[in-house]
Amino acid sequence: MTQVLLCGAAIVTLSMGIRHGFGLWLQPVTTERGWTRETFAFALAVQNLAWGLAGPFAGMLADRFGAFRVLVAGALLYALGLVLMALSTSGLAFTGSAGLLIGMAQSGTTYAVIYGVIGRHVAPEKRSWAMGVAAAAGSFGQFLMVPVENGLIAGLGWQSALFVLGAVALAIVPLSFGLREPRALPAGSGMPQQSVGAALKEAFGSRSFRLLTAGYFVCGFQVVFIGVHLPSYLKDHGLAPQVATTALALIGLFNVIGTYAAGVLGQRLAKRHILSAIYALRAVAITAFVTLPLSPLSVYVFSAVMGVLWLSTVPPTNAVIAQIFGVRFLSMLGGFVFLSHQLGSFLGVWLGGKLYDATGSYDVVWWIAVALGMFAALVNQPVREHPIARPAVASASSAA
Amino acid sequence: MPPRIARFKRLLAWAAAVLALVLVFAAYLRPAMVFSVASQLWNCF
Repeated sequence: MTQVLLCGAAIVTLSMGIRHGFGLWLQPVTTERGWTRETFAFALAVQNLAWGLAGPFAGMLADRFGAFRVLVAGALLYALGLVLMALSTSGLAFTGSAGLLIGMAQSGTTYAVIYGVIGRHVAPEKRSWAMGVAAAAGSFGQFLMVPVENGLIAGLGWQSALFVLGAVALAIVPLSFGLREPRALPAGSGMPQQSVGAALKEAFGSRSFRLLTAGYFVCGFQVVFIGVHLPSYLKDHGLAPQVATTALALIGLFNVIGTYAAGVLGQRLAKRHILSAIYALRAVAITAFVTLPLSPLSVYVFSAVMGVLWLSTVPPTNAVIAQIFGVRFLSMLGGFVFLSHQLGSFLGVWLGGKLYDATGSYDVVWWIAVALGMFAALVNQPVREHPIARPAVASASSAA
Repeated sequence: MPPRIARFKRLLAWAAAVLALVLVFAAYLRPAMVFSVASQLWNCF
């Protein structure tokens, strides 16, 4: 278990961390290539969508052939994407490398694939904690890599910095050896001998799965809207640029604490209550932030609170999927739920800009985020966390 | 493993984690970093 956890956590630290600081390349890349910001932003939008769309397929392959192969392929795609990102001289090539390749690479090297292995190797009574550790590692990667990448760009230039990151991404390959699994289902594993189609039909036929998917959409919407548009909101209200940097640092710091705490709490409390509480608290925090007078202190408090709630939805959401459907297809099902998260992310960024242009402020989007938070708090409550009942034949054949 | 050693190892792991978080947070607050990230963020909008 320790090996799986350490290697899985290290992989997620790298895969989540490397792409988190991509915004730092906006200025040098667009200046040198003579592109508009839209070209750069479009590539990153494609990356987020490709990450979400490829997720179920990467998960399916990981469940079928083992996470090891998917992780190695993902690491190679990641390195290739970073190198081609540095060499791209047209917007289309940049979209293909920074967008498509890296998005697909992320789907093969992040939570869904790692959680499948953790789910299969860690006992149920420790699973939520283990998922919290892996999620906290991903959060730490995001927190760590912004200053590291900023230093790389300053010291080496933006192109060489991308080459270095490509080499760093290749470190995922040796780490993947720690997550090798036997290809066949172990005898007496208690895992159902389901087909992919049957597993999907079972999941999407389950009200709890649909509710979790709806809740995760809200997570993506809120987190990415705030991550992308908060600096602009602060600028509009006359706050100093340094406030935004400190806010990002606080979100990163408290995100590590929040994701770990959510995993620990998932061992002790019903995960639907944890998820409802996270979404309700987000709604309360956003309401307080937009209604109370804005100051550096209010920004820091909001950032710390939102940091705790940032990716803390990840461990309980995946742990409850494992609890209901088992771990046989955990990566694939996690991939489908994450697709909903990414669609929410896309909408959060896009709608934030669209409604700002239409109304001249972010007020409407903030209130949409509040309403969605209350919606997600409510839809997680009816989730039934006990294992799904399967026909006796399937149970008997899996026990044989 | 004796409980005292296990407890010591756990304490050491926590101390390392807290130290790492503090060091990274301090990296964000370095004037060069604050200036660089802040100007990049502001230039996006």
